[in-house]
Parts: sequence; structure tokens; C-alpha cells
Amino acid sequence: MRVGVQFTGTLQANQTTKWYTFNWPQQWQVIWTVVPTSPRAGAPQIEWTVEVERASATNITYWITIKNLTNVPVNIEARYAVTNA
Amino acid sequence: MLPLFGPSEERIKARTTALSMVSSMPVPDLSVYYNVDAPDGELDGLAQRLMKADQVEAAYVKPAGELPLMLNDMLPHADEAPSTTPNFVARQIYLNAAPAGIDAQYAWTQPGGGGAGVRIIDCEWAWRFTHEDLTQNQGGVVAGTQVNDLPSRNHGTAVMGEFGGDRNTFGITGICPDAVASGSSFSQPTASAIRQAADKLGPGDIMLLEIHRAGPRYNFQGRADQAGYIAVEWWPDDFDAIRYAISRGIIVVEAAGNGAENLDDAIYNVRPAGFPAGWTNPFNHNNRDSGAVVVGAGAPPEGTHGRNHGPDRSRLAFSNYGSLIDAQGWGREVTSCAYGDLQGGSNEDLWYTDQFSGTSSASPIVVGALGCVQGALKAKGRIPLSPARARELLRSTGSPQQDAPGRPATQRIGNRPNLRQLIPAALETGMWTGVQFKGTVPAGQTICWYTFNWPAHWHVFWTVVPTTVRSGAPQIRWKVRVERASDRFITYWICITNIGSASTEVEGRYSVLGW
Repeated sequence: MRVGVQFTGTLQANQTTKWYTFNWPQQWQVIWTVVPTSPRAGAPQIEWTVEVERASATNITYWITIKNLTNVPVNIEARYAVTNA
Repeated sequence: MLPLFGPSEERIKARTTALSMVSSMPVPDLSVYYNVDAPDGELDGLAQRLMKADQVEAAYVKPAGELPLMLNDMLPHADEAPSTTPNFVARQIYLNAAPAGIDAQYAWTQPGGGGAGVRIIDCEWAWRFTHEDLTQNQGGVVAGTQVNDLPSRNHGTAVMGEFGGDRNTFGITGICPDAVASGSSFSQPTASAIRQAADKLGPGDIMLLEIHRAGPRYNFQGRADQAGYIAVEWWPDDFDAIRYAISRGIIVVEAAGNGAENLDDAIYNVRPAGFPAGWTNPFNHNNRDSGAVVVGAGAPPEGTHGRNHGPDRSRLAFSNYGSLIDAQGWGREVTSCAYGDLQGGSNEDLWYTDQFSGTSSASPIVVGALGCVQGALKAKGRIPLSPARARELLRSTGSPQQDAPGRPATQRIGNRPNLRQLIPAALETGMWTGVQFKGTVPAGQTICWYTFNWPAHWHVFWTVVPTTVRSGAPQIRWKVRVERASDRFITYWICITNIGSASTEVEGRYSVLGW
């Protein structure tokens, strides 16, 4: 298992943004999660979906779409876990 | 009157939203801060007049930020330095094994443990970047301009030497000499210097605030003995600038101040005239939390350099104390660059000191320790410590504070870091799975469960399965939503939709994947 932070960013109020990250070895089994880094207690701030592109025989591109559920900007951190490396 | 954090409100707003700027409190808008430049004698009157304007929420006069000069009045020896500076590392007992030191020598045996890949910015007034022991991994002044003042230059040079002194065979060696060290000068308003430093750093990097100000104990009046001086986060603009850095994942290390104050005292709850109506005392984390690591000054081991300052790791009389303080460093007898009381002469580039003091000398020791930890994590491809995690580990490891007559350990300045504990604690990780909740979702409905107090540094993956058997078609789907409840904790919201035609029991499962 190997975990890391792939990217950080900011979403404006109610904004949805798609990030992509490429050249992930196809044999790696990768789990993506996203968390806010801007504290704001009381309600969920973000949600995300993952879409996957087989860019080549050897590489995968992941597309992470993150939605800000609040009416203020939020900083986010996209995290990965490679479960078989 | 000019915007404090940039050229115009519009540009600050655009920049802060594009970068990252959200506080643990309702989002502070840095664009609304203005700095008034006027003769000192007119400032109070101006503040009162500004407060009468409808569009002004708060107007306050900050006491000047100051260095702890009273403690650092060493003078250079007249004797010229020898042709080769001796090796003074044996005098840097703070590098040694705990409890006397922080065991930087252990850190250096670990890959990356010298701070490789880490950036540090020291915020104060001046430095001597041409010093013979500050030639490697130096970034110079990255914001503001050097103040041409010898006491300020000595101070900054001594600070820089503690964590950034070159690894060589002469002079001193810094705690994390492989980190790249730079300066951001308080030649400009302090909050602006902090903000600009933050813009030059990234997650896991470190910022040091070498400053304290006259607090309310003596009505914000500057004093020669600096009694009543406190940490700068108490002022709203400095607090928001620190929050800006913390929200970018930068560890901010802040000198507690040399005012001999109990920062838990009720005097710090009193909102000064001119502060915003919603201001609350940030020294009480139940109100709000800057996220900074705050450092107090502890005594070095008795007999260091032939002098005694009380029991090892006891609070030094001048050091502020209280629940706010996270960790301590040596507040006396710190051997470093500058001042010239250890090696003097006519060339400032060859000066060394044996007596650098204050929360000023204590804070760089904690910075150095954190630099070693971040470097060790990076060398292993691990995620660097977040500001909150750094604080947790400093509080949960290290050599404990000791009592001194009249200064019991209940007057908290925290533990002295011990890298032999700190690095393994930071490198520790884990993986496990479990079931967090069970419940029922009626047909066609969506129900959200929330689960709180998950440490923010844990990577957690959520899945949901039905436990009611019904074969032939999918029964449920779910969405995970995330709330950062505080710097330390996350609340997960698991929203489960029953897409079948009958009620179903569900089970919410988690996997902690590591950190």
C-alpha cells in the first residue's frame, strides 16, 4: 500500500471542476479520495466522482471531478492509494 | 491608506480565491484589510475617526513588532578570528541526544533527515547571507528588503544558523542543513510579509515568525524589559495571514514571546477598542485556532557553557506560557552564527555566538526538528506532516518540561522535541478495515449518515453493501461527501440511495489506507 497527495486546488462557491492525472501504470490498483483542507464545520463541503481513461496499453489517466457543495470557496486535496504497490 | 495584502481589493480577492484562503472561522477576506501610514502621534486619532465611517468595521493601532533585543546584548570580541574557524559543533549541545538535545545527530542518519526537499522561510528583519557558515542552500531575501541594522542582522543570522548552518568542518552545523532557507523581511507590514512568504511555500514547508509585540498587560506600550509582550497571532490581520499560510498546508512556527506572560490569563479575552466586533481571543483554542506551532523557551542543561539557568527544560522566567504553547526549545546558550561573543573580530561574516537566547532561539530549534521530519518523510515518498499533525506529534513526543522553583511545569511550555521519537512517530502508518454503521434504507429513499472525528491525515475509503438478500438487480448506490470539521478532524457523510423496490438493510464499511 502506498498513499499520497496527487494535487491540491481551490473550488469557488458551488463550482465543479475536473482534474486529470496521467501516466499511472495500468497494473496499479488505485483508489482516489478527496478531502477539503479548509475547515468549515456543520455540513458536507465536497463530493467527487472518478472517471478512467485507458490512455495506452501501459498507462491509465484518471479524471477526478470535484464539486463544491457550499457557497464559499473551498481548498481541496486529492489523495491516492495504490493498493498493490 | 493602502490595501494591506496587495495592490487592490479586486486583485487580492482574485488572487486569494485562485490560490487558497479559507479560515477555520467564517472566511476572512484579506482584501478588506488596509494599512494606514501616518506619523505615530496621529494614529490613535485616525483610528477613532475611521471607526466612525460606515464602511469601516474595525480600526486599530498595532504596537510595533520587536526583536527580543534585551536578551541578546552580546558584543563581539575585539580579537580577530583565526585563519580557519574552529569547529564549534561540540558546543551545540542542542544537536545531541535527548533529553539534553533534540537528537539531530540521529535524524542525520535517516534518509532525508537533514531536511532535503524542505523549504523554510524565516520572517523577521535582516540576515547576513554572506556569513561563512550560511553559504549552502540559502534562498536570500524573498520578500521585503533587508533592514540595515546590526542587532536585527545578528538576530536573523543566529536564527538562520540554528537550522540552516552549513554542514562542514568549521563553525556550526544547522539542525536541518539540507533544507533551503530564506528570509521574508518585516520591512513591510508583518501580515503582508507573512502572506508573501506563504505564497512562496507549499504544503509541508515551514515558516518561522520571529517577532513579538507589546500586549494589553501594559496597555500596548513598548518597554525596555519587554514584559507583557505576546505572540503576534493575537492581532486580527496577523491571525488571518497565519491562517492563510496554514490553509496552504504550511507549518507556521511562532515564537510565544518573551513577556513572561500567562497566555491563559483573562486579560487576553478582552477585545481592544478598534478590533472587529466578532474578534475572540485566539490564545484560547476553544474560541478559534490559528493553526500555528507556538514555541516557548526552556532552560538548557545546567552547566551548559559553564552557566546555569535553572533545571533543564524548565520554563525560563521571561518565556510566555500557557495552554497555547506546543513545544519548547533552548532559550539560552544557543551556539550559532552572529554576535561575535564566541568568535569576533572585524569581519561580521566570521562571527559566532555561544549565548543566543529567548523564544527567538527556542523557535528555530523546533523549526529544525520539523525540517528533519519533513525531509525524512519526503525521502520515503511519504506525505509531509500537515500543520495540525505536526502540532500533535510535537505534543505527544519529546522530553517533558521540568519544574523550577517558582516556575512549575504547570506553567506550560511543552516538551523539547526528540527526533529519535519524532521521526519514527511521523513515519508510522497503518491499514485496517471495519464496519462503521448499520441501518435501513426504505425503497426509493436516500438517507445520509455522518461519522465524525476522523483524523484528517488518515486516508479513508468508504463502501456500502446491502445486508438484506435480494438477488437479481442492484439494491443500493452511495455517495461520499466530506466535511473538514477542523484542522485535525474530518466528518464523512455517506448518502445511501435505495434503488430497489423494497426496504433494505445496509452496512457502511471503511478502510483506513494509511497516511
